[in-house]
Amino acid sequence: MITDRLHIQTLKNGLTLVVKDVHTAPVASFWLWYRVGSRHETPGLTGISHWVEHMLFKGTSTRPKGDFDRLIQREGGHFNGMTWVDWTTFYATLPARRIELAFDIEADRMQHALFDPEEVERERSVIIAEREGHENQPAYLLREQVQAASFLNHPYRHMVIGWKEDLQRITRDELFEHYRTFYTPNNAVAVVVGDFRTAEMAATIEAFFGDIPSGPDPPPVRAVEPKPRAQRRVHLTGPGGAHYLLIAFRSVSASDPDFFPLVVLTAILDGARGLPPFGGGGLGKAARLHRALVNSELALAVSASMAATVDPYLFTISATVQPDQDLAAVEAAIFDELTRLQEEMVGQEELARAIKGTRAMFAYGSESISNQAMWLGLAAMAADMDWLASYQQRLLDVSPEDVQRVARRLFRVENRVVGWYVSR
Amino acid sequence: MPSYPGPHNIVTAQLQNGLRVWVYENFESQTVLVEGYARGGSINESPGQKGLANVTATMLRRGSTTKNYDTINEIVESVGAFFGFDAGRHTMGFNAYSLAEDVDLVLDLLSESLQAPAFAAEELDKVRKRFLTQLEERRHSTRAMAAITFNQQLYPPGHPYRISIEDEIAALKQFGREDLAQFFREKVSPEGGVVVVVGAIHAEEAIATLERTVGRWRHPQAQPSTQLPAPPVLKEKVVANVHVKGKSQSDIVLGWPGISRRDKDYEAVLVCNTILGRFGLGGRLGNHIREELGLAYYAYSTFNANLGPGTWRIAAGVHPMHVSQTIAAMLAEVQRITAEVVDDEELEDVQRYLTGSLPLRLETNAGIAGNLLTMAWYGLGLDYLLQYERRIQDVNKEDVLRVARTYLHPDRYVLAVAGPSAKEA
Repeated sequence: MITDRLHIQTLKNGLTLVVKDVHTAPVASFWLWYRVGSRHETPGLTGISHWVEHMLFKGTSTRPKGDFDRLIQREGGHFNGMTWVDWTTFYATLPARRIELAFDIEADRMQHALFDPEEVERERSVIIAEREGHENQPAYLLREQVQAASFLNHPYRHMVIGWKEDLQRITRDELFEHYRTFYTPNNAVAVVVGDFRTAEMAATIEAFFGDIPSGPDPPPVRAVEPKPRAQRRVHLTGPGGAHYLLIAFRSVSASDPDFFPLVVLTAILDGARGLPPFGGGGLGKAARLHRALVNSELALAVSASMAATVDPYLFTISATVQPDQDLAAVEAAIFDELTRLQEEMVGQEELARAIKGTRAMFAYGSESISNQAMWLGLAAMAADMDWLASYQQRLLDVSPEDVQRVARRLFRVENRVVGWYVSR
Repeated sequence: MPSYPGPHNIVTAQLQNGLRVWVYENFESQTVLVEGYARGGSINESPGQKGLANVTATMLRRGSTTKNYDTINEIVESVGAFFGFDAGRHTMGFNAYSLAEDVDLVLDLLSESLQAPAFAAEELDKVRKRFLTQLEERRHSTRAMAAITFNQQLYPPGHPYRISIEDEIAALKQFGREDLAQFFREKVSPEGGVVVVVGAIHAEEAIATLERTVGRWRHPQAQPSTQLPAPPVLKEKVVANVHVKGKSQSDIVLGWPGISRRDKDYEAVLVCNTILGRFGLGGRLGNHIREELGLAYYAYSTFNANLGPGTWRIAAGVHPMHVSQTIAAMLAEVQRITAEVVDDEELEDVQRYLTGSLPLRLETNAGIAGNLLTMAWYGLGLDYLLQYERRIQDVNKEDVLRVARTYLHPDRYVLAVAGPSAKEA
């Protein structure tokens, strides 16, 4: 199991280490996770976490821009960074004997990133170009509007990349302040998985990170989403070859006991997956939504999505619809399926398929050492290692009554936002 | 040195139907992945049949004469497994991925789909509608339209590698069940094809299981063409702009005819391309267009090499106001790489990257299978991965300059831009 033989340790400066030796390939993967993402952003500064992530590739006081990429790749390594709602992570996968290079770089840029004003300006236009690439896609435009309508108060309401209006105005000093506030060892988790000896590896990481001073606790996220009282609807029109439908329900956090029934419910609607949102996909053709919408030719494609998050985020169902089809009919067919989950108990066979499918998806995902490190880190961000260790058992414990209860809890009219993108 | 797959641990065999088999045991994993190519793909479509190979591949997964699409989905998804088909220019690909305990189940389904496909009219209608809408969606994608426009400027009408949305739409509306059945029967053959198995299965068992399943698939009438189409000739600069309304960004593709996979210059082109548009955040192109000018989120180069020559392309997505400046930067980098030898350090960086990253690319069953399939299909030899490091190290600065000058031309290229007008965005 992915959580077998884990070494977990907290250094004096507050940095949490998660170390696991795996000897399937001569490879090691290091992921440094910070508890900072769009969840930690305030109005006017949306997108700042993602921008800070970009700036950490722009050099430190001892290493010029471009050096990180070059040093890692010269050793055959692969590396990148990602920002999401709850976290930002930097990772490198390398031949195992060279993994220390990743520790060296991450320890350096945790403390010494430059935020050179000229680089900030160049990156402003790169990020605006990244956003404009997203804007080219109708499904992105719809998602952005639905997400904004889904939260009145919680910062989950804006996309990770941020609003263009904020990207045009955020200053270098605001970026640097965000960096200093959140990029501290006490706000981070370091995960390393690979072909090494665990005790030695833990000591090596400590040697690189142990002397970095801890910082003040980052400010807590105070916003709590109020109880929803009204259904919202979002209608967009624009050019496109198909119509798009997105229905979002306010969901549950990873630590909510109803998270596991929701995983099973998602599998019943759209096929099993590994650890959401990064669990792979592809199953679902025998699942309820595909049968009801695609087999019946109401929609060309349909999928459901959930995620393991710190605060309640979104459970979504999206569909791509032929231009000559009626979005109202598609919407009604989806609601029929959700009502069915509320009214009828799911059968043992469907439950068993969800469980076996999840086991297979974990097995596929675990072949990659990078993936294992990613899942461990994701679990640390959204919940903890016990949560991940008990994951598959807690799915086995889900009963038909649990699935029904969660369907009744989530799929209420006032808890949803319905979005249409109508192509013209 | 890591123990890469090679003649010492890849077991080979040939099935009764002519499929050549390579098996690599990997008991570190819990899964088994099967990937193969039968001979026969889109180059075997007749005029007026654009897209037939792709529709045939999709329909192979949609039911056999004894099990309909729903039943097959029920069976395969009950164990969390996958199988499917995809058409290439010269191949009909097939694959299956499951936990080791379910390999028989999934290969039985795969084999039945090959031996007795239903090509049911009802499913064909669904596939037709889906594809028609997907083609419409491509018309609204700047990335897709830049790539298609580039292809159309490079390959003349009638060339088998030419993409045409209009021809595909017209053909899709015509296909009947018998067109698919006939294409499959007459143009797709296991004879001369390859299949690789990687994962938690003993080689002997894997070969016996394959013989019992896909080994029984025979197409004695099939005669896929073995003739490669004539490579395109580019005599001058060709520029095409496509207007895609209502978008924020334009996509640019600039490129040339490329090489085939068995070309002796393959490794030199790989090194040259990595310097030009891959290493770091997009090689020299990424450094110039993204890091220095801040114009794009993505700017890179890529090449594809098939049985016949593919293409070598540069691409970027930028604001419509920045299109001209980006093209100028692209051409400046082409000028530079065709005029000057690369730095020693740059070459060494890229050689170390390409060789050092091999263990990462062989980390998963999918990574291993993808490499073995390429080696088996293109006849690169069982020892290709063992020779790979030397092949990359043997590329010198003069080789890089030579292939750059042979294939990349700053004054003779195809340029395609798809996007809104500068006023619109």
